Amino acid sequence: MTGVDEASWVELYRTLEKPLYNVVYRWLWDRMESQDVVQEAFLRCWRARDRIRAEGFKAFVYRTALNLAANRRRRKKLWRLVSFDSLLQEPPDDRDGAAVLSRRMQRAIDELPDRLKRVLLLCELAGMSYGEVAAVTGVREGTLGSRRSRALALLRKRLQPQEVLPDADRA
Amino acid sequence: MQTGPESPFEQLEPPPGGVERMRARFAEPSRARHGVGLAASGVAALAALVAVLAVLSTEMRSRTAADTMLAAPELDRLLGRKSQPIPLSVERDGQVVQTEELPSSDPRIRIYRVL
Repeated sequence: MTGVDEASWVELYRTLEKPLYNVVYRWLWDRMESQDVVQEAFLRCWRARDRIRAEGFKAFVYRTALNLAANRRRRKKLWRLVSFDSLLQEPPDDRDGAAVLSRRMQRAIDELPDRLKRVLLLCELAGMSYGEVAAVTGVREGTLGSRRSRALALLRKRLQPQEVLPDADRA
Repeated sequence: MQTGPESPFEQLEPPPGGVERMRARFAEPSRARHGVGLAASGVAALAALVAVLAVLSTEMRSRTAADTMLAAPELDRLLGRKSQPIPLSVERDGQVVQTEELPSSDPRIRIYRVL
């Protein structure tokens, strides 16, 4: 992508920011950090623009953003483990129905195996074709359909309404 | 699968001002310059470490000298302390001869007899 100026690059960012942000957000669950990762991915691609072909740009920027997000997530998990944050922090209020649903949603998505989650989110949130997802993930197109179905089935299962047990039954 | 506002695939709006922040990040110094800055910081840190080690080494040397001085029998005598036995070597006509320590009534004085 030699010859692309900064203004055009910012326009590219404007076009891709939202779908890319939505995918990254499902990895980090932090709005500002997700936006930061999207921008970092764009900056890295800008620096490598001489080596990127225009037709491969979208795959390149998604791959970069997903790798950055996965690294940050790993680091955060490790940090939480080392600093015992999970023991010190108060859990969010569960009485609010929306908060419970939102946390359930996060947990359901988080619990998907990474290889299924990538395929699902790229298809559903970035609106990518199997060809484009294959270019980002390096997985053969023929395998993507089954991965997507498996991911959807797992998600559906985890999001099924759970029975609320009376207090006596809990004990 | 749900597609309403509680759908896992709901399209969320990114925080506002993203394009402006992106423009600002473009204007920031490049990572290469950051790299030079980091290298300079590294050299400065190394220099500081060498300086600290040099100071520590000098201090350790002077501490060793001070320890030697404190252990010297001369100091025992000056301070009136009971003198500590020291390794004694006596030569007669170029030959090392044996010595024997004798009892002394003054704790500051040690008496040796050449055998």
